[in-house]
Amino acid sequence: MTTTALPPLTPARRRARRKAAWRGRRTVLLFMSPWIVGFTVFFGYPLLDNLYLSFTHYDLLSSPRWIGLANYRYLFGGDQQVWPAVSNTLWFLGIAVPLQVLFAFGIAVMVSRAKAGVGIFRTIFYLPTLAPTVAATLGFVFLFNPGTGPVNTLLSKVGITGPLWFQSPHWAKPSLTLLSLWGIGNAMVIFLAAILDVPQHLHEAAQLDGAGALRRLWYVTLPTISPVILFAIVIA
Amino acid sequence: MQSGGSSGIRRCAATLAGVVCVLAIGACGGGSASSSAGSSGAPAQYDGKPVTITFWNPFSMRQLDVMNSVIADFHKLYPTITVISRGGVTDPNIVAAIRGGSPPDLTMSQAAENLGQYCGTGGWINLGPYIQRDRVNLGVLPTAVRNYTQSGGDHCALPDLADTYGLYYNKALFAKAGITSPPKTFTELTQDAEKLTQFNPDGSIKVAGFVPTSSFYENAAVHYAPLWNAQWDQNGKSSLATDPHWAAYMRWEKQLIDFYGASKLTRFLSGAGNEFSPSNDFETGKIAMEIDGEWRGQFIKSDGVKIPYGTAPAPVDPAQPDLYGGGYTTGNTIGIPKGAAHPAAAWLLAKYLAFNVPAVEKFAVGLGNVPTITSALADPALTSNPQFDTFLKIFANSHTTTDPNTPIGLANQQMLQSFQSKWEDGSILGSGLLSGLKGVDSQIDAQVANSTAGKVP
Repeated sequence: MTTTALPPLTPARRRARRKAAWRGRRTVLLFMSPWIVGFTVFFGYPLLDNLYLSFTHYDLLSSPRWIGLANYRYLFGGDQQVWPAVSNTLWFLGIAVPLQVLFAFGIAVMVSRAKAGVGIFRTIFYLPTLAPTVAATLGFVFLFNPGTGPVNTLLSKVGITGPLWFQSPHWAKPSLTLLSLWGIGNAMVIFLAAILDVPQHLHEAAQLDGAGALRRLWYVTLPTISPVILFAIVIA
Repeated sequence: MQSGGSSGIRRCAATLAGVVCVLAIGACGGGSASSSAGSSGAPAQYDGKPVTITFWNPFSMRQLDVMNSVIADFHKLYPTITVISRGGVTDPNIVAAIRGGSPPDLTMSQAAENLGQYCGTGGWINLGPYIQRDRVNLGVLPTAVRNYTQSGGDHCALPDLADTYGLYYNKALFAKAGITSPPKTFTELTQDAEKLTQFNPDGSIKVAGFVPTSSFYENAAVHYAPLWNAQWDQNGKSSLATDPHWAAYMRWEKQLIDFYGASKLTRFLSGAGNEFSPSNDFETGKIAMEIDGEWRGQFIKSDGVKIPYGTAPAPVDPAQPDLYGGGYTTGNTIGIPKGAAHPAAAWLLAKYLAFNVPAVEKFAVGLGNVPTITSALADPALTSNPQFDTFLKIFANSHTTTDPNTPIGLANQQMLQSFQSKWEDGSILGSGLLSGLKGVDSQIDAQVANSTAGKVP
């Protein structure tokens, strides 16, 4: 095998290369410009402006007045709602998000294994996603109304006094989690597509090695679709 | 020579930075338009030249028609001033317009509590110079109305009708329970409520005598404060814990909630009808008594509900029976925003709406609200209705008060409400009431201090 030394670049060739590289960058920037402008105007600027405003008192009617760390001192020392809000957010992060991902994944696995009627099941599980959020929320509030809702009415028929659902400090978060589980159609469809995309020969090889359904799920399906799992967690 | 690539990228970055700077300057400078009147001696008189002014108000449908009819009368009086009336406007709309530098000439707010912010920031101009120039007699307004139209010594608003709160009671349910007259103290109210309450065979509430829960309809603490003589602040500090009347009020409401059972009452309230619809629980007979504004009578009439009801002043603290007859009042406020194009003409309209007696009476009769001029309270068109007359008397009573304007608007009430909900559902035990109220006090004081931090005295 022989190697051929490249001839040294002349200034003219160097200029031509730089020009070509610039043309390339310009094209990339041109195509990216709508996103860059959108990102700067609708995300970057508000983010930086919010940061600045957090050090000011701003009543919207007069110019912002610099007050240093006073807002942060109030936030962590005076506002009694902050820590309950943090705790509620962490609760949703630790319980509602994993439940949503698991629920969407579980349904996708079941639908992927169905012998018949895959299309029907897929549609049924996806349909709630199409319901407007406000309408779905109102529907849930009606269903779980502790006084007149059908859920508690049914529970009372079997001798159970239903909880106060959304009206109770103890039940409100689980009730909201139930509401969020109802609309997992998008994640379910993404999981389904990923599961169906796992190469069949990997499953067959694992099966020949004696792996059962659970082991194939653990050692084949999950590692293959791990990027999709990450995506589902992020969008949840 | 620089490489074309990096200089091009720098140019792009510079352009983007420029866009950001322009946006930043625009956003920060929006609220700094200068006031057009009020700061340099007597304001200019209206010069009589034809002018078109815009008036933003919160009304819609029938109420807007009444408002426009009053404006049409104004136009007859001042043919050179044409008024474009825009209804359905809320306070956030007003703030956005002032901030954007193109406000209407005149605005009306239904939240008098926000005057502290409008006045303190100069969002609404001080009308003091106009009042002095035209020698407007503010003595025709009751004290409570004068209080809620000024803040920090500045008269930034004029009133245009008020709301007053009293007791509504269902006469048929009273007769059935053998009660002959409405309660005058909260102790009597509790006794009557217990007599009037009916339970279903399964123990759930069928008819509630009186619902004291603060989140229900018009039960906000602010409406109860005058009935207990509870003060929001003393010596510039929030006084929820130091004024014992607050604790007395909250212990009374908890006692009545415990009569029903907090859980049972929550279940009952979860089926409550919309307050401003024919399914309102008082109108459907699901509650026997309620504290509500004078407008309820108009709703009962327009909803076509055949309910035999009576009105009376709301009950008061049993330890202060002399308070009976008074109550809470608040009302619409009219202000000229800073940056208004025609403040002189706008002032004429504001003055007409607030002080022209026939206009005030016409508006009050049309809307079923209380007129804000003392002399208009005797208008036979209003007093001939005995149920409405109750509210005119409450409004004129010397014990009727309003809540003080604060630089944090309604935030103090919202903080109390948040604590009160926990108190009502039993999350806070009796011994935690005072320490909880102290916590709310310090939260309010901290927010007030924060809102004035860094201010040049």
